[in-house]
Amino acid sequence: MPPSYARLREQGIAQLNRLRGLPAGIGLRKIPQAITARFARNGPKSLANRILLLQLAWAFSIYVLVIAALWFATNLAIENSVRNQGEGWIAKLDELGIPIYATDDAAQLKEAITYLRNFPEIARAQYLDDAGTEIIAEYRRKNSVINEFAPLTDSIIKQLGRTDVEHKTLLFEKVGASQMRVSAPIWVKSIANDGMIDYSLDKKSGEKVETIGFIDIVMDYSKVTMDLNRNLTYASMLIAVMMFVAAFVARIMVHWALLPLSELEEPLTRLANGETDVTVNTSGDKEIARIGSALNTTISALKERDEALRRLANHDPLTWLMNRKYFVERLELEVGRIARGGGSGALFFFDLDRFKNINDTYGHAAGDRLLIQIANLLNQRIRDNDLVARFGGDEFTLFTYNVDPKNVPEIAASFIALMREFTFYEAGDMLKIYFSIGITIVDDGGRNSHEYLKEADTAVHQAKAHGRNGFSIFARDTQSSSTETGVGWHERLQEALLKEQSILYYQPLAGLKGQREYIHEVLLRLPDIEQQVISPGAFMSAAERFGLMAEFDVQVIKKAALVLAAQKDPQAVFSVNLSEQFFAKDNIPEFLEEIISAHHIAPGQFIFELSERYIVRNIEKLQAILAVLTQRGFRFAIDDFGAGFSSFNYLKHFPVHFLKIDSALIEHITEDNISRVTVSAIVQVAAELHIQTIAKGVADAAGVDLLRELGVDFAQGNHIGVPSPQLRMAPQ
Amino acid sequence: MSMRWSPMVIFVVLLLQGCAQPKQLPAAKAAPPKAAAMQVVILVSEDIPAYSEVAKALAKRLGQRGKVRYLNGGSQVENIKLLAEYKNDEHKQFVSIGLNASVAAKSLTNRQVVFCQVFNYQDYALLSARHKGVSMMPSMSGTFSAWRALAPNTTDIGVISGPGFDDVIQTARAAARSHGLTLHHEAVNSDKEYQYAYKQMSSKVQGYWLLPDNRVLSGNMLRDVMTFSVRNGKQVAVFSEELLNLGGLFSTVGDNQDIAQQVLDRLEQAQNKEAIPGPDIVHPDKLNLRINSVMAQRFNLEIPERYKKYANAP
Repeated sequence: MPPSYARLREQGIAQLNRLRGLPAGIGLRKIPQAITARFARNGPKSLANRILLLQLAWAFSIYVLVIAALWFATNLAIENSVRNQGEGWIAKLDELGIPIYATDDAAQLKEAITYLRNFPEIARAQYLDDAGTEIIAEYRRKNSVINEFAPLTDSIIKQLGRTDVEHKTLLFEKVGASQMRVSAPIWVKSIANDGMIDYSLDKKSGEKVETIGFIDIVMDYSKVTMDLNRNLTYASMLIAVMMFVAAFVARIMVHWALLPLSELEEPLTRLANGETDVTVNTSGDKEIARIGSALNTTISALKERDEALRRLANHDPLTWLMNRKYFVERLELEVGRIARGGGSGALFFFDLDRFKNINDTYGHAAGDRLLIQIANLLNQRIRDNDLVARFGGDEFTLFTYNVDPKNVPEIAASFIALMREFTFYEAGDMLKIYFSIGITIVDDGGRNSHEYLKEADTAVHQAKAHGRNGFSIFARDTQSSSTETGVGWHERLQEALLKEQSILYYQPLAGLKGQREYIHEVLLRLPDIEQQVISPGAFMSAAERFGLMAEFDVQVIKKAALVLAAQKDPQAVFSVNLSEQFFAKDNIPEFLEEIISAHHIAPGQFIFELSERYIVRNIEKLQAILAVLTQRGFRFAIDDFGAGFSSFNYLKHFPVHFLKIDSALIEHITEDNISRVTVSAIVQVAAELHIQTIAKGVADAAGVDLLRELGVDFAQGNHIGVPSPQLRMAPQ
Repeated sequence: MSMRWSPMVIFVVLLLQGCAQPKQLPAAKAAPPKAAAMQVVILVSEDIPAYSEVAKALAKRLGQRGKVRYLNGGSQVENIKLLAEYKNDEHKQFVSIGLNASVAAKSLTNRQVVFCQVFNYQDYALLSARHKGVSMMPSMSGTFSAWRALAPNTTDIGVISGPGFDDVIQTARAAARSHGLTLHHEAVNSDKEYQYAYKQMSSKVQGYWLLPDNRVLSGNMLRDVMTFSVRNGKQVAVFSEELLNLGGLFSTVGDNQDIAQQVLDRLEQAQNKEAIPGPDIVHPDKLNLRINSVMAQRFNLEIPERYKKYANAP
């Protein structure tokens, strides 16, 4: 069956594209664009070719100029030569023409005129009478084409016939490319002095001159011109050939000279592709060697920077252990390797117990020092091939190779023992630091690194749930247990958010100055499987780690707003804790505006609590957004004020309305003078700044009295009221 | 073809020419001037040696009778006006020296005028019964005599002149013949024709006698024909000692004392007569001869003993 037209057309286009180096799928209409794009992709041209092109252009310009100058100069020389010859011929013909004026002998005339036959450059010669009009004798070369020359005019005759000049006047007239007419008078002279008395050879004057006729000759130098043009053509061709030879040689030389530059292309390409293990040749010409040396220096610097960046990207800048991302990548590789080759390993998840207290008590620098020492401790304990990482704030992970699952408890116990022996010295205090360890065995090719990490994470929370300073090995066999407690915080927290399972607890604040507002701190709880509630200590760090804390904050605000709306009491105020992650959200003012607008409540009914630690670290960022929210009527409190590196200085510029004095200062205020003085100072400064104070952790009535005496505005604690899911709006 | 002279030969020729000294032939003893009653006015064209020497010789001989008057280059009309006072002075004779004075003296139609030092008297029609002259040319007989003595083998001589010189040529031809020489003459109208005729004549003659005919001679042409002569081995008798430098064999120049004497003789003969007796032109008997020893040697000529004192290198 013959192929259809469409099939033939497709085959033709494919063939055309193949010849043009284009993809087969491009149709006829797109071929021009594709060719343009292909050439555009070709990028910059070769330097050698460009140099050669410049050389050729320059040489061609010189060539044209030389040929033009040669042609012009030669023609000028020929013309001058012809003029000189013309003068010579005028003198010669003046002498030859004597018989014409001296005798009527025809033979003599003929002899004189035919003498010119021997000279091909004379195309025509005319002897004219003294009026310049009548031709007395004429010679005309046979087969010679003579241009039309106008007869000598009266004015020219008059000019030529002048005898009051020292030399004869000659007229040159060029007609056409190769013929020149020369006209001159014929003079006779006689000595003026009769009898030549006192004649002297040296006397220049004293002669009478008379014009007796004119000579008019036409010189044809076409043969010379033709010879010249032919020779010029040969010369130009020769020069052109020499130029091409020179260009060819120059091409070779330029390529040879630029060869070291071309050799740079390969290492530079490798460098551009990300390879830094490249060395550039530094031998050869001085300039190239310098470039090579400079490139090598650059490559070394790049290599060092690349290494530093890689290290920075893959390691924690504080402990220089692997960071989470890199650890996960390496773990994924190991999991894959185990899946392919068998074997087993163990993944340890370390979570420092009460690290937050260290931070809060001794400051972040102390916390950082602790993390560094823990990292060093782990580094010293592990084998060379093991992978250890700082997984999060106070979390470390460790993957060990070729570990028998039976030996895992022993290894875990050794870590626990290691920590028992470890003492952290800070500010003169000797602190015992413990961590909980979650462990999972990596021996199943069906799981990936994330699943193993969830298992280890679940295990570490199990360990914490069983009391800190212990370890827990994730048991896949005990499915029910895993289902209940080991599904992992991530899923549980996600589920709580999706199902809006968060539970609000309310702890009242007592106004010590008879305030009309009823303030309650809203506290987040999650439901337990056994219909109990889980306190924040159990899930807060996980929620932060999984980036879910902001969503919980949003959920709390929404629910709190709903409750406030239901109260329909403008004096009811909720104090809500906000996490760092909440402030990473966009459009916070709009969100809060929408909430209060939707529930018809006042912005002042919300007090948002922020930890002092977070404020200090993000003071500039928070200043801007808190200023906006304050302007809209929302209020803010600094939580746990006085627990860390408190500074009164930033309070001057920070839009805050309450200071919640840390419970550590309040709990023993009745016995501890330092605490009392400290609280007193905080209250005085706050009063100066028109900031109200809230005392946390008030344990008894004496404390309340003292706080009132110190001028504290509100009191909060179990003595005032414990957190409860029931909201009691009656004043305390 | 042009003759090629080496620079050394030219140098030697010029050196020898420069050393030559003009020598005067022994002049015939001058007759003492006869006492004349008439005053003689000597009109001189201009104060140049060729004129003033003749005038001085005349004045010396005439004594109180002679009065010299220089016209000094005035125009023909001015000169005629100047001479108008003499038109009716019957007691005076006139001598005009040079062409300008002679042309002006033509106006003295009724007075006796003897002109001298004029070559082209024919064109200006200076001759009449009362106006006659003394030729400025040196003795033709002496010229041809010297030539014959210098170059005995020379038989044919060419001479070229402007028109109207037939009488002079006839006289010259006779004088030449008397010394065994044949004179070939061509009359021409211009220097170009002169040049052409000179070269055309070359095959017929062994030497040229140059006449001082200013009408057909020009400086370049003179150089050309002299060069032609030297190249072609032609002996040239020239009218000026200076032309010896260009290759002339010998020069003959008129003797001013002799000319003055001839003039006085004619004036004496015309005393108390209407016309001036004798031929229109009388020729001097004497000449000043100078021989170019270099050219003589070149032509292999043996200078006779009696002429050796006139021979010298130019």
